Amino acid sequence: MSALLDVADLRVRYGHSLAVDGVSVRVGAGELVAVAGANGAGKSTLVDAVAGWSRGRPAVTGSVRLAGQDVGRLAAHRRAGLGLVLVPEGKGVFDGMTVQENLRVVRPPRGTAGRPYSVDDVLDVFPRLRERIAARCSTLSGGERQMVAIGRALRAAPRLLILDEPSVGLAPRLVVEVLTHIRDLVDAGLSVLLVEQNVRAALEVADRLHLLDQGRIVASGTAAQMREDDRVAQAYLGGLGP
Amino acid sequence: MILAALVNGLALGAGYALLAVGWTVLLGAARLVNFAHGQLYMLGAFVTWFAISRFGLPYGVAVPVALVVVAVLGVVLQLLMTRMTLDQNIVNLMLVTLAFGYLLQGGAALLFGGDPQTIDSPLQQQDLALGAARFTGQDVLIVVLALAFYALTFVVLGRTDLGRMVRGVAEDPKLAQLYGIDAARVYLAVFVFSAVCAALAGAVVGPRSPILTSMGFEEVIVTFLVVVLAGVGNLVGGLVVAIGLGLFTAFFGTFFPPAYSTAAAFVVLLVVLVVRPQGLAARR
Ligand SMILES: Nc1ncnc2c1ncn2[C@@H]1O[C@H](COP(=O)(O)OP(=O)(O)O)[C@@H](O)[C@H]1O
Ligand SMILES: [Mg+2]
Repeated sequence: MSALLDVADLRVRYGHSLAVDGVSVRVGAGELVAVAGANGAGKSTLVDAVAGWSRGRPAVTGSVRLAGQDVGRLAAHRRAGLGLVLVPEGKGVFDGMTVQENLRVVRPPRGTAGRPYSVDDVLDVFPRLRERIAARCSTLSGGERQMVAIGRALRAAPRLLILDEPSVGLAPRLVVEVLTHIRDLVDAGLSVLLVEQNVRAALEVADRLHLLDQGRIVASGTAAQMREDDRVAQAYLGGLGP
Repeated sequence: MILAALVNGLALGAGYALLAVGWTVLLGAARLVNFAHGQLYMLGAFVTWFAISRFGLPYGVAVPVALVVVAVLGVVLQLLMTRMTLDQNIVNLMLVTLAFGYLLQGGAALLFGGDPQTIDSPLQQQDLALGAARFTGQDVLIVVLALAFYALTFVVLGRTDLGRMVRGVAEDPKLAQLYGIDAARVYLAVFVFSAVCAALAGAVVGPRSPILTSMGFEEVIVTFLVVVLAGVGNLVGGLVVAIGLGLFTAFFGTFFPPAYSTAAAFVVLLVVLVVRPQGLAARR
């Protein structure tokens, strides 16, 4: 079986420290796969390497295939052009531009990419952005920025959308809102690799979940299996269960 | 005398503006520097002269030829610097472009000789008058081109996909990659645009006075003055400051020995930087 995204034996080093140590992840068409783990576990390093991107200077080995095509040597903007689109952790929009400009500056997708979203389509997904369309992104709230970041990613016609902690810093109500939006996109056919610190929330929307610890996958399974997993329960769900 | 200084100052300032517009975009929008800018100006003038005197091309054809030659040089230079540019290694960029400037100057001296030359533009012979003000067709050309290039740059940066890409790369080149933007190509486009503006300034200002292959350093200094006084990246401010500087230089030269005018302009710069560190025309 060939998955839409097939990451095999990925290793990422910052100098001498190994931040990702032989990770293999697959995402099928129309699937939402979550990666969870503590701070510093290597989640961002992993998904950044999948997108061919970093703010640092990591050394990456291993293979990254998108729909069978080896994209592991391509620069980030080329991978984006093929539909492998990352919304990074933290700053994900151009603050100096308006919402509309952020949605328009995205390079038009190539023929091989997924469903193209027009600016209007994005506003249908995030109606709240409609009234903020002419606002500079520096004036937006955290949730609104996250919507712009996801919206501009949709504009790039992703086949695989990678989201690195889209809910970080958001009020609990907004976390649910953003994650629900993402699940809706997946139900409409998009494939998503989601990094999420909030394991409970991730399990609400994900099909499968990988638990990352010190650069290695230490537990994997379907959302249902992972809810029952002792390691997950102890480490993340604790006594806060419903 | 006042009127003559005014007209002369306007033409001079428009020339400065044309010289500075590329740098304003380069430094403001792309955080790049190019200390070979003045030598590209010199080359714009000399390639124009060469095309006219050696190949007998008319001025109107020689200028585009010069722009193409300098654009190609700009492509080569920026491709050599791509790595440094992507890393935003400003110190190395300063040194490399400075070295490139010296190389261009040396190469130009070998190729074109060390004598002063005159660019034969028919517009320079065309005397015009508006009331008591007397000027040449060349002066009009400089002013028109300067205004046209500022307007073009303003519209492109503000309203087009290319402009949004330039601004995006300027704000965050890493993030731009995730938007599918090839930062290296945007840097290339901006650099070549800047080089072509410098060459155009040389090609149209050149006919006003004899040209030398050693010129260029004064032009970089003037450009620097304009960009810093206007506030880095401020297009409209750049135009206003450039014209202002042209008028200042022309009036200063009318009443004092012109040799001191650059020094006097620097005094103005110092005062402005002390009083308004963000630049004369900056909004905040
Ligand atoms: N740019 C960088 N340079 C050096 N080390 C880094 C860099 N980014 C992350 N690291 C290190 O890599 C490890 C994994 O970090 P990260 O991928 O950000 O984890 P997570 O996203 O799970 O919180 C950490 O030990 C972190 O200190
Ligand atoms: Mg992270």
